[in-house]
Amino acid sequence: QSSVTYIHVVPRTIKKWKCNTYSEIININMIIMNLCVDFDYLCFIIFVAAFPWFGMDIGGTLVKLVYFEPKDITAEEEQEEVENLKSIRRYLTSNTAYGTTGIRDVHLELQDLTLCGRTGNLHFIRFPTQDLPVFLQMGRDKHFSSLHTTLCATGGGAYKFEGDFRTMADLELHKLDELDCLIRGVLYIDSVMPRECYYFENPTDPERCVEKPYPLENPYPLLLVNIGSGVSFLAVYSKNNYKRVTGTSLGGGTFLGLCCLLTGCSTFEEALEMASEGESTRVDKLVRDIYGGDYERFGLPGFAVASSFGNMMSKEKRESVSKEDLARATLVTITNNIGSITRMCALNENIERVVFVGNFLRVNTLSMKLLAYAMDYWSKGQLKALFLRHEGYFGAVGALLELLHPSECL
Amino acid sequence: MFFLCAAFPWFGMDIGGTLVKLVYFEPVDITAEEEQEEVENLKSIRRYLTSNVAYGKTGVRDVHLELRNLTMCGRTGNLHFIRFPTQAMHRFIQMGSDKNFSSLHTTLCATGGGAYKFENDFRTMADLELLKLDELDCLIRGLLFVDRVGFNGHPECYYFQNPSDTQNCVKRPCTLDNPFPMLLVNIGSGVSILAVHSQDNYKRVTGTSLGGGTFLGLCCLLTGCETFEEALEMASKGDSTNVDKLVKDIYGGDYERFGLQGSAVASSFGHMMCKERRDSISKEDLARATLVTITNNIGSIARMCAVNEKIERVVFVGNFLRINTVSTKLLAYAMDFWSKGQLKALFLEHEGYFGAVGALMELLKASEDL
Repeated sequence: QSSVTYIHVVPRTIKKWKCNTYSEIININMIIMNLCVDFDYLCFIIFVAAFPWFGMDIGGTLVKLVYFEPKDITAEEEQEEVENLKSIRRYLTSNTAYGTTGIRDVHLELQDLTLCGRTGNLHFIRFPTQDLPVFLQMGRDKHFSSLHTTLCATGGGAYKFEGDFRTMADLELHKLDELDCLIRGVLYIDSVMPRECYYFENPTDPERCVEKPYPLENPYPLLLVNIGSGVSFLAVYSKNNYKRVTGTSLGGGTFLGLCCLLTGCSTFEEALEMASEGESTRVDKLVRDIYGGDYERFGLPGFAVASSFGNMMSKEKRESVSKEDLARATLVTITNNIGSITRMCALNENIERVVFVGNFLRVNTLSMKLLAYAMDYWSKGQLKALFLRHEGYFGAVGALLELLHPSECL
Repeated sequence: MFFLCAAFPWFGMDIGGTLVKLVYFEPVDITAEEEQEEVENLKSIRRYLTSNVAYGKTGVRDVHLELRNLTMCGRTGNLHFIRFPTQAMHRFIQMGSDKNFSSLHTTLCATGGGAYKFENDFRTMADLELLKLDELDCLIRGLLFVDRVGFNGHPECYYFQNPSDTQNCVKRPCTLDNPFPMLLVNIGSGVSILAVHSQDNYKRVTGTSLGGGTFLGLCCLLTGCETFEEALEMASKGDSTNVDKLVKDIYGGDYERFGLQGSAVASSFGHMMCKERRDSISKEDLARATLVTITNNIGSIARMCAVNEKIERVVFVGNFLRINTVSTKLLAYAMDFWSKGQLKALFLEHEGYFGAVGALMELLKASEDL
């Protein structure tokens, strides 16, 4: 169970409640608040969720899971610990791969983190949304529901699979909005990780291109571009004040889907591998292919793409390009389209700093550099493209934070 | 009255990334005297163009677009609209050389990127000097002219009433009186978006490289088709929802918080990362998905520009929309739906020819006010 501890400063009493569900926690908090108001008491409320502490983001393509592994377990606590909780902890922390498709991103682990008065490591795990049934089965086999823990979940899948969690694993999901969680997660991670945020200096110069840290203090206003299966653009004015400016359906899912069709690849990693070896200018029609040079009147350099895949209407050209060229062109097309829309949003909203997140950018330096370059070039240096190391995990982190510090309480 | 006009023949040419658009003014008020004096190759050019509707293997005259009994620069005649692939440019230049076009000492007004790219070829192969004009200047000038003179007594401009209702969606004429300000979206191989405040006061707001060329290029790769017509034919029969991942595929329904209906596309081609789905869709589905993806992306960007520029009227032109009712209706719907009725999408019958018309008008500059 989760527990709520309630401490009166005057007349120095301590009351504890144990709650089984999230709504019970909320109710208790309301009671306490009313008591304080009625009796003019000063009080502190300490709310502690029961272990295990998970945050889950069920996206269109990937499930992102963050797990807090406590390292400060006392001997007493360890003795009281139920068996399946111990087994979950052991299973997650002693493996880096789960089943055939689950992966723990060890390089992203945050060690010796203090959360809610406990010290431990934060682990980052992902698996395809397609394999959620396998995960649910595992939750059922390990009797996860007997732990009576709240499972905070965000992303579309929190809504889509709510019924499945209930029927297959007897688990109640506490559903959270993905964009609320995203922003909360971004702000938290940036506050505990000094080198989380970075940018690229000289993005187009392979010799001199270098990652540099960027301290995101005074982050507002910020344009947050979340590139998952699809893309959302958020203008963030303060911690609790943001709006979804727009979105585009041409996202990571489009890149992967088109690549699979055009090249026969099957995974994101394969697609990126191919793209790194290809030449998109054979596939795209450039300004110089149409003008013979620059289109000076409107400042379009000859090397700018006039028509993506524009050369592919010609049979000879189709026969002369490789799968790698096609993969590269797909990557460049999707990335530049996102960059273009980003720029328009930044202009509309009068924001100069753009932070790109989402798993489309995972192991995808090509796109990051392209975005960095595009922001800088087309805005003549006005816009800055920033990136975060934990890319696609912020929604899950936000969900975990909601478990530990429910926003509805106080 | 005395008009100082260019010598015949009167052509306007727009050499784009994929197509060359040619407008030709055929005078019908030639006097017997004029006819007698007319040089042979000029007569032969007129006969060749007006007695054929196809030229070589790829040239086409869009007869249904012909503007009849038009008065330009004091002359009456028919305006013809001809197109052929830019790939066939050298053959065209060769023909100009064979027909001794240069001996007619006429100025050839040309716009589009190809006016710059092929300038030398015109000179060396056919001894012809091009008067190069900016494509966007010509586009606007041509558009305003054709809207003003009308389409053989009918309006040039149209829109869709009830775009969101497939049963009751109907094409309705309109005119561009008080056309300014307007957002002009030119969808050719690529896309340019212009905010037009008056004939001579406009700016290129932005562009996107995901245009008609992308649709055709991707379709050829994904379906094995070879022409724009084939690609559209396939698209008309396909179902893009088998290919695209919709909001309901991710949320199980609507994403209510941000007003995204379950039927909205969350990730274009998003189902195609899954092998079973790839094996279960048809070429027609892929063609449709490509069309919908490119069209909706253009619509989305156009909408952002309209909001940013505070313009309510969006005019879509360019040959991507030629015989492409799927896209025109999609654009009409998207503008209406996502703006909650604030934005209106307008279309023009002569789609991709305005640049060429504008080039012709530059040739006849003296007659602009007539």
